[in-house]
Amino acid sequence: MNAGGSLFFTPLRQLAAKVRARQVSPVALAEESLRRLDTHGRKLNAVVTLAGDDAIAAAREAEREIRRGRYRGPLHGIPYGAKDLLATKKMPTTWGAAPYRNQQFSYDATVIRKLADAGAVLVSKLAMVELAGGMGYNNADASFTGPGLNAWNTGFWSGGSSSGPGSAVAAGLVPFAIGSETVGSIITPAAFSGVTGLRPTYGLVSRHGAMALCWTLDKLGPLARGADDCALVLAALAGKDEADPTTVTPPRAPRPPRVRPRIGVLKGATEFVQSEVAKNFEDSLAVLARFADVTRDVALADLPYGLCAGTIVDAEGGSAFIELIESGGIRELQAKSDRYGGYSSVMTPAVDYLHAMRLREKMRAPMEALFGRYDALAAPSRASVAYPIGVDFDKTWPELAKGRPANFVSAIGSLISAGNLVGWPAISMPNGFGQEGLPTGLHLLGGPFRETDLAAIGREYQRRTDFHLRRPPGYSKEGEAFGAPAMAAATFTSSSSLSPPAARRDGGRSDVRSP
Amino acid sequence: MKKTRRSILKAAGAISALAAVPLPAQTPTPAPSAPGTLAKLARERYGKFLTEEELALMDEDMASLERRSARLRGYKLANGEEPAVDFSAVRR
Repeated sequence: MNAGGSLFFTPLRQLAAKVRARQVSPVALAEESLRRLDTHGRKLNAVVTLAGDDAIAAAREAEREIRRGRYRGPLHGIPYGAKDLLATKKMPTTWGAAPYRNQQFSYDATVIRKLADAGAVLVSKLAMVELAGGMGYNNADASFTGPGLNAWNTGFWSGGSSSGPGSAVAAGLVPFAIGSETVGSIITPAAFSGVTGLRPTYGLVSRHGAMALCWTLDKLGPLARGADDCALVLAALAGKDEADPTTVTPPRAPRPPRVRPRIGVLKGATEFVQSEVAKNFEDSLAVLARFADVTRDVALADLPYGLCAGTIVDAEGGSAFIELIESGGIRELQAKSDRYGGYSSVMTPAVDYLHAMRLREKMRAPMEALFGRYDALAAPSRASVAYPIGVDFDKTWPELAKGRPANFVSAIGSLISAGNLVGWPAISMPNGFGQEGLPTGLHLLGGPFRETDLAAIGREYQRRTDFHLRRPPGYSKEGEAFGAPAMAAATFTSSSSLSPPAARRDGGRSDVRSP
Repeated sequence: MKKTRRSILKAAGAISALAAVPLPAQTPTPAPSAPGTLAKLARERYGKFLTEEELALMDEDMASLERRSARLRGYKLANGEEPAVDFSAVRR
């Protein structure tokens, strides 16, 4: 079996089956992942710190347990990366920011501990936009590790603020990664990097040990190849945690996902978007309509979603980083606009914050009413493909601004803000390609604690499409991108002599389906 | 005065940055050429950390903040409409 590249592009459930059957060695997987991260990951500016020997030790333990028949579940022996805002006691936790590059915690974040309990192997802390973007960055070069480069075209950004998780999954450096979202930081890198990202309901996943930017909006969730992968990872992360009082025990699902889900299409979702984004979205709707009831022109209540999200992030972020800001420490940040952006955050009036929080409460009822009629709302994840490196965001894709009325409010932006403000789950799935060969994404917002709905719709959509299985150029052929006889080294046989000969039967054949 | 993305987003009511949401086309009212009230206060507090260019950009941020504040307060709420804060007298 030659799997160096293939294994890391394999759906997680299939990879887990190979690990469980001892056809694939967790040690070899970790070694290969570390090697890829150290080479390609560094070129993509996706890596902050490699776990090295600790990862190998964890993989050896996983391998021993599996050999003894103590199989913990589908993440056992699977390598993964974590956005570098999650505390880890064995590695620094830099928050992507130079002032914190030597920061060391004495404990693991709850999600790191939960994944360890599930047998997953942490191989790398992954790059991120400094302070998760809280200081108002306006350029991809907003991390002390450099701009996150897109695996599909390195002249473009991988998205943010979970930039490393996006590009590391896209390039097949890890099968999955953990990112975070305050307002769009999982959805965006998933869309720009052509991977699947699942933002959970607020309170479903513990934030203990995660950098706080905005404690009423921050959420942690997986980025992986497919919706099913994300659901598997989320199952390991979810649950009440005494260390995070905002976590809840998820309510028992009152019903399984509908056989024929009801999907509302956000009104105005394709206004002032790139033509490829609009076309890919229409194609996605046609696919969804094969198994769902799709209703057009569904509008959100007329409320100031972006205005509220911005105010809340500024106020909470300003408070969370007040010492750094008021000491002038933000001068050490990478992005030019981050070196003064925090000053307006700390000047946000308390009354504005409370007004935004009162409006936020007002958003709940109309959203609940909407989700009495629909199981999900659909829109393109982003209006454009990824932004070019070296160009300020407000100067990218200028054609999108042509003819736009002065009072235009982006429906796509409103959906991202609204979904985060009410704390409901969302998924972004790759749905095609646009300019410069860059991916586009399909965004679905679900009801509270209805991740099962999103996963079910996602599985059906991805059963009918192959965008989530495609590989960036340079990673498309086995071993080509990695320069090593990878899979020969990625079986129990070579590392630990446990693999039966049948393990190599599939020859690294890719698993791509026709659309 | 140079418009920053942050200032545009603030004025247009979009989020501060984070995931760099789609850029609204709305053009903010031109910033005043002289620092406004908030900008003056910000200069007094934080000016020592900033270059002249950064001071000018911060002024624009503060002007945007004032515009955002005015827009936000334009959404009227009834006295009984409470914020989305789940305070508890005991730790849950």
